[in-house]
Amino acid sequence: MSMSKLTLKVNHELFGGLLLIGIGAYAYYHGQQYAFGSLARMGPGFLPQVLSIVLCAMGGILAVTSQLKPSSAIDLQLGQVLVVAASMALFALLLRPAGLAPAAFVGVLVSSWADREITWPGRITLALVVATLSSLIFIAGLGMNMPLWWG
Amino acid sequence: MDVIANLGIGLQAALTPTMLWYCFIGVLLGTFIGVLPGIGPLAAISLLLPITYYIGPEVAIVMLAGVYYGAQYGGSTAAILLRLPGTASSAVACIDGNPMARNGRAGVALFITTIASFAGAITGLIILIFFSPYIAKLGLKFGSAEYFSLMLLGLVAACTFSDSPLKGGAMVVLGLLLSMIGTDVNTGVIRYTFGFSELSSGLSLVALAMGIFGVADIIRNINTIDTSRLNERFTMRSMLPNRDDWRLSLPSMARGSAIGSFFGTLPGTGASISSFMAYATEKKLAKNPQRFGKGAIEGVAAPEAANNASAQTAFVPTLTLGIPGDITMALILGALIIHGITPGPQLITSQPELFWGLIVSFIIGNILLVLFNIPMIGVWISLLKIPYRLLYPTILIFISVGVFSVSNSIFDIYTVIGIGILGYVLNMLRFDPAPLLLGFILGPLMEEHFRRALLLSRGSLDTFIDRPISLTILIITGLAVCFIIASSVRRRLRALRTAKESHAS
Repeated sequence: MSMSKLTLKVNHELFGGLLLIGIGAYAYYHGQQYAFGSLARMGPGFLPQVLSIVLCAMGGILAVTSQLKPSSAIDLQLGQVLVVAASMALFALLLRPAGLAPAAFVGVLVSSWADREITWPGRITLALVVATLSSLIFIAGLGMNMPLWWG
Repeated sequence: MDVIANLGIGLQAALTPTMLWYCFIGVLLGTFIGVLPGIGPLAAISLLLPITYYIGPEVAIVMLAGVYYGAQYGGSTAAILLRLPGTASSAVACIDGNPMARNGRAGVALFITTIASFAGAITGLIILIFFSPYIAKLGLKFGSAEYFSLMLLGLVAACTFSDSPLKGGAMVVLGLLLSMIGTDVNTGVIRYTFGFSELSSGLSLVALAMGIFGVADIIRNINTIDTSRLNERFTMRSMLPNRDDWRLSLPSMARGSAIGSFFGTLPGTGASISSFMAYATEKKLAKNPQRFGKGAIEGVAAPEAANNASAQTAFVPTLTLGIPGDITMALILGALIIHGITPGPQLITSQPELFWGLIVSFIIGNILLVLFNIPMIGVWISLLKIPYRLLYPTILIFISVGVFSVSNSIFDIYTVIGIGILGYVLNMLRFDPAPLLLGFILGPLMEEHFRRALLLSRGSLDTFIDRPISLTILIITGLAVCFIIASSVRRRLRALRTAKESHAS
């Protein structure tokens, strides 16, 4: 199956810099609710606020100097991101109610979707093998505390 | 001789069946994931972290360390045969190793990398054995000010040699910020949990490491790794180097081992930097540098010796001072702290069996690795043919189970997904997220030492420069920062000039 892909012709340093400024600004804003204190008696907000400012400053330098470097294409594999995230989220949702074996089976069925070449029989075989293997290793072998099957 | 007595203690500790078994498993797994492109030692060690809760800390560290140095051996195999580095530190092996393979000398290249790896590892081990007790003695004089300065040096050193020091530095700061999540040890205030009670004990180290080195790399590697064009078959005879190969590669191995030992011992810098530096040095020293890139054997021997020497010497600061020698060591340090072992100057004297047993396990492990990599190379090459489409769904399930098992928390699986997406975006924006982990692990330690040092000095920052050891470390750190700024300004100016020239023409 063909995966959706987003190709951006952007300056990755500019985007990277802006991302850092965004994270830093948010961390600073959120960190203001914690007491700052003084050098001798630092409050819980001291380091978070200082680090947020440092991160913003680094992002700023990166964004400003980004113009010295040429833009290049970024291929964001959105389809692959979605499939991998969905397969893990399904595994997380199924693990407690359904047990390890069914959760692993469904997880592999979904995550194998991201590959271009795999066939349906191959996908089902792989899912069965991984479900069996993980049950053997984690529950029978290591005795981890999680259900194997419904109920 | 002290050394002999110490190694005797080590032999006794290491020659138990359990220790030997986990050493064997560690180097076997290390070679396996080293050979396979798309999964590196960081991902493998984070995958194994949950398992260490089920075995004791002593055997756990023997196994995790085996994965680390074992991966340095295996990493060059795919680099030589397929031009796909199995680990980040073996990327340099592609430059000359792959041309050698295309000239029909793949066997020789693989043989020399194994010998170089072994030579580098043994050099590193000798340094580890002889220097560690001295550094530990020095470490006993360290107070909080010295620890803070040394960790700062480690973080700066980790950025100095990366592609873009500014981007590396930003990742370190981001890692430090992420380490602020959870309960503040000094005041008990809960920070940055966004209402999730699961975050009050902090972001899970296992979730962070698996997100960045497991999930993010998998998203990027799907549909890009193709090992199907591999059809190598060779005999032992074709692997043996000729006299010229030996003459050229032996001095390179020696230089590579020295470079690797230096960068390995330095906190914060590790195998990848060592192998790049060793390659650059060989190219500079060569009589005709044009041979490089076309299958020069020195270009394979030196970097491989360097990354293995570095993998062993990285244990010096980790075990004697509790300051990670490189990013993988940061992860192993994190694992030790989880198990209640805080490495530091007292480790060698208070737990000599642990320290010397570990070292003897390294010696045994390296001998095993030579056996794995020369007579058994065919097995690894056939494993290399496992298609990535069968591997990654399996790894994703292992990641999910592993991260869940640490504290039976479904929430941590969602954390891995989030961190994985963040890691992928950072990758796409050409950030190397590895220093983030260094910042995350050192963050709480640095905050503690920084606060304690200032509490003792009643808020006077002079404490960091009044103490001679701390001052020396800070001066080195300052020099490193100046070096970073000077070299990146020069690089940017050069880029600007070439851009202008191409614009004018």
